[in-house]
Amino acid sequence: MTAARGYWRTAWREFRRNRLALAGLVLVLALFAVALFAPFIASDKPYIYAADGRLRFPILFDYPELEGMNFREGAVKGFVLMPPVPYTSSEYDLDAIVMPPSARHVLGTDEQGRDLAARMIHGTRVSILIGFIAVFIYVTMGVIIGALAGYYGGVVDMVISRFIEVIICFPTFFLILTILALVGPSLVNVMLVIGVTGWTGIARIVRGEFLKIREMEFVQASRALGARDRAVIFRHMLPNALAPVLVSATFGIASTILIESSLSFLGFGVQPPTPSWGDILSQSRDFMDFAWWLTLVPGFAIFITITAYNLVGEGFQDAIDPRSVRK
Amino acid sequence: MELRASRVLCAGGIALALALGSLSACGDFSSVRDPRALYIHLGSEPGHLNPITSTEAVASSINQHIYETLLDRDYDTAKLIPQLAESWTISGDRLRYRFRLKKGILWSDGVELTADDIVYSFKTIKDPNVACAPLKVYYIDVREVRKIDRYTVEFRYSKQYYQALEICGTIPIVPKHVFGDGTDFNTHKNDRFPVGTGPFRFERWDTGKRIVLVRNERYKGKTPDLHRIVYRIVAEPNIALQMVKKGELDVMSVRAIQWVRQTNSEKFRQGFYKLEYYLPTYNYIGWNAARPLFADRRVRLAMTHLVNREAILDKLLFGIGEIVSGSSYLYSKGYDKSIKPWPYDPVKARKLLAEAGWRDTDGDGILDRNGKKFAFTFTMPSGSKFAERLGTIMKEDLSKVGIAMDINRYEWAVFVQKLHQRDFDAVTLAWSLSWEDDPYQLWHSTQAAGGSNFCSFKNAEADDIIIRLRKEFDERARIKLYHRFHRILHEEQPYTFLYCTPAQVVVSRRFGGVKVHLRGLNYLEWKVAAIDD
Amino acid sequence: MIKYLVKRLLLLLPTFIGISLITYAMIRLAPGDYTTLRAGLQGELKAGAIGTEIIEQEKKLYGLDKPVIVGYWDWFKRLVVLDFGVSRKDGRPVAERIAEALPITLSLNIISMIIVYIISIPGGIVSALKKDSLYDRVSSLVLFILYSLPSFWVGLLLLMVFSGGDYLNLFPLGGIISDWAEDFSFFDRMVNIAWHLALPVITLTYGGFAFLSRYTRATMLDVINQQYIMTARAKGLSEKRVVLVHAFRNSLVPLVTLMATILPGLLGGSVIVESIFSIPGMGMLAFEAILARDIPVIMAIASISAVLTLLGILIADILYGVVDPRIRLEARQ
Repeated sequence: MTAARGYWRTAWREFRRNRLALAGLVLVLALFAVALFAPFIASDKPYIYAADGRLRFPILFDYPELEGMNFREGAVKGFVLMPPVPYTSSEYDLDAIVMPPSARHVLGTDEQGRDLAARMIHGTRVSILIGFIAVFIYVTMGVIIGALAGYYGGVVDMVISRFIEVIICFPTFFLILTILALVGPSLVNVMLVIGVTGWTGIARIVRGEFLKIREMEFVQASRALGARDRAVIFRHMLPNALAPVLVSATFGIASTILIESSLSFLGFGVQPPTPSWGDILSQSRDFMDFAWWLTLVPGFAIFITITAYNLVGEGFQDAIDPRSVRK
Repeated sequence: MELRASRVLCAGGIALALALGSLSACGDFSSVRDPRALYIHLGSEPGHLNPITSTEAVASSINQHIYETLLDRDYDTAKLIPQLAESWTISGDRLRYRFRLKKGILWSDGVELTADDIVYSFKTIKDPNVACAPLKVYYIDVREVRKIDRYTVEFRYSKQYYQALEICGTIPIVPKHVFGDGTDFNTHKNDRFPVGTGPFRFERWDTGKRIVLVRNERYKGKTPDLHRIVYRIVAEPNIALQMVKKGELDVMSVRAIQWVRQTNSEKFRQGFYKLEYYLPTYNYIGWNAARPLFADRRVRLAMTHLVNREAILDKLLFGIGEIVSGSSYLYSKGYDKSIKPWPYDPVKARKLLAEAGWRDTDGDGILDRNGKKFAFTFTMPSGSKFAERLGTIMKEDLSKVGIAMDINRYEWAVFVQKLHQRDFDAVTLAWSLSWEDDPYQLWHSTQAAGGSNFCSFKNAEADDIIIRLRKEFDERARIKLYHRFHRILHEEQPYTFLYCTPAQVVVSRRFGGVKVHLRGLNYLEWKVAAIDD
Repeated sequence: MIKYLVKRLLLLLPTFIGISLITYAMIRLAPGDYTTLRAGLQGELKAGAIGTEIIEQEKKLYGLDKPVIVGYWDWFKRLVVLDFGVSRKDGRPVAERIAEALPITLSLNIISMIIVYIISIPGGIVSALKKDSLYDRVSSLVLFILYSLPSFWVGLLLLMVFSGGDYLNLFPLGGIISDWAEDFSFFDRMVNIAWHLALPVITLTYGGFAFLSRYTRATMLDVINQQYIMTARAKGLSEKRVVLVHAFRNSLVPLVTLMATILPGLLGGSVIVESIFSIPGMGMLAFEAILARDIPVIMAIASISAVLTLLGILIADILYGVVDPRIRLEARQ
């Protein structure tokens, strides 16, 4: 226990020294914060509404007398403090369809006159969640299965490898389509399906690395010293096999968002009107020639996500790598 | 130094030569196109062109130039007129329909068309080994087709039916001497090499690329001015429109957004006609009356009052289309123009819902009745952008009056299954009708069990009208029945009827004589403009 | 080694049966079937109970009334004599349809893959050697930006800008060969095809650079820090030799693994790219077949890609031994 804590503490100290990685971590945390607090960043209800000698917090509590009130642009008397994006992700305005960014709609509007900024912020929830959970599922599955196969070899390896082969043989995208046809395209299903179908690559990589590492001296040594299998696998071998896994995982998060966008494009994405970055991207196809904001805004968000995760991934890798040169 | 310069020059020269060479191999479309050919956009590729087993709309749009039927519909009046038949007689009891064929009509391979071909086609449709389920159902009541002599056939019905003439007259006819060779009909080699009697004959098919028809020299009717019709398969509509602009396509059905935003430049209008015509279709929201929620007429009516059809038409559909209030074709006599669609009226909707017992008693913002909340799922097929937008807007609007709506979008196969099993609350879809549609299949109460009355509309008076309609051969009396039926639908609101939207087609101005008929466009009358090369 | 090979080859059969059985069961159990779908809402639904009878009749005609396992056995018996059956959509033999689509997809994907590997691997190595240099930073930034752009958007944009005629008119608007190029000489045909494939290849490749070069970079970095590389350096071997012979060779292991998993993708084709560029390839074929529940086509594609993938994996496993002799394929005692 104490040894493990010491290990991670050292790793964290190493990580902190890498400024770029730290910046990446901040970005990732910021994305999570946006996802977590989306309803407080983009909402049509004010934080504070002071009128008739009363102080109200419509964003936190329901006030029946305020039902259906529009607080935007000084439409009501009294003091109003609105969230930075004063729209919900679903309210539409048919008079403002596909409007470029303006003072009213900072990032413009989509094909139904919904505020793009609000949709992006609420979409962060979906996209971050899909990306993170799906990748978490498949990295965990891939690492464990691959490690078992590579470490034990022999019959275990034979059986697991055949199992991996069975799954690999289904082209992922079609497996996703078929399963979604069976279970219906909901947010949870999209997440699970991408997660459960994606792990084979990682499993093969880990298995390959383990096959290589297990013959090395330090593994042989720790085994000879009587270390338990679990300790050898996770403490000694896994950190050495982690580099390619981390690259796969960081890209996995972005590629999951892109897969979701392709599914949206083909009509298999999350159910409308759930906002997701992928869905916003796929809408842009009909307005290619003029509505640049419908592509660039979600595209930029994906870029930020992937860059942030990559920086963190690399920093992490440097930090835990027992061999990396310490300056 | 000099040496190096010359080497660079030399390399540049080679690159240039290669580039020129490649250009000559690639060429420009306008320099190689056949000026007398009509290039038509095809959004998806048909599997084959057998008019009996094919169900695809794209296949029939091609087949109408290759195959002919006994009767055709006039382009301007949509009335039945002779095509292969020169005349017909109907027996007094209206059970026997006798057609007299024109003599000397040849299949494009030179064999004469006779009564045997029609008898063969009918038997094929009835053959249990032939996979043409959708067609078979139309001929359930036709007992037999008998050859009277070489040029006369008789259809025998088992019961009276006012659309019998149309059904007999438009039976797909395939050549017996080609298809009756003993090989499997479903996978016959001529499925993809059709032999017909029409103005064009099949020339070639490059899978995934194009289907080419060429003028049929053996065709006895008026020779079309076009030499060829080339269907080019382009799945992505944005790309197809670019091809139109580049002159690689002459005819394309465009989408509303393209019609409004991308085909209005001066240059485009100089090069292309923009044509619009209304076909008998409409889309709707169906309320499943078998579910307790929508069993009440007042609730269905309230829902109609809550769908802002004017605004959606104006903004999402750019004002293109008409709001309809009933099931008949908007421009047919059966459609009662005096019935105005219900207006958007949330206040009245709230009142109706309150009358039906839906009130927000627990103050959670959602209506309830006897402890049950007003919540339902809106089912739609994937791939319909309009349905998604409609659903999104409805969800937002309904939440304001306290109705919780979820959207479930399903792949077509799954969607059809849900309809079959009546497993939905509300659904949106479109119907394509015939010019004078028989309401039986959609609206008769017996069809609620297994037919396409999947919203379980049951109304005794409507049932009675539908049955009388089927045996009413007098047009004026029939129109009266249609109007009464229209009124019932309007009052009952089994559907919230939405829109009849027009087909929107762009056509190159290379062609003259381009006219919009009631039935749409007729390529046969188009003239190729004087070729100046 | 030979014993190992034979064992692996023998194991292919049960694996293959597992894959095809799962696929078959999945399509059969998925809601909807071809006949009902086609009949859709036009006829069958309109005609009520009698229509249902006709539908059942037609299902029987195609063996859809039988239990899944019997249906699978029927399919398998025909497969043994290499009969893939007949496509429901157009009544043609499935083999014929695949023979049309496969070469197109294969050539497109192989070209794309070669380009991706040729550019990414050296790029990744350089990035690793000059870790944290300006080149490393800028190149990864550019690659990430490329990676973040969805292919349908890039594809459409390329077509609008380079082929639309509104801006530039350099490339054709999709397709794989011009209508009029059928009777060209071989060389001119090839040029024509290359001209058509340029934009689709770009669309297929631009996103692949990022992953592969980052991947190469990561594995290279991993190897460079290993002891034997340091030893090699210490021995005074030239840096070039250290990098190319020792380091690169060791970083090949994960790359080889990756190759094996890429194989099914090679056959799969991309629905989106194919539909945008009007390319009649495997992606569209499979996509349409799945949506239409065209069982013979789905099964044929699944089994062909399964066989090739299994072989690909086998080859990759053998290559492990070649690139890294320390890996022992046999069980460890």
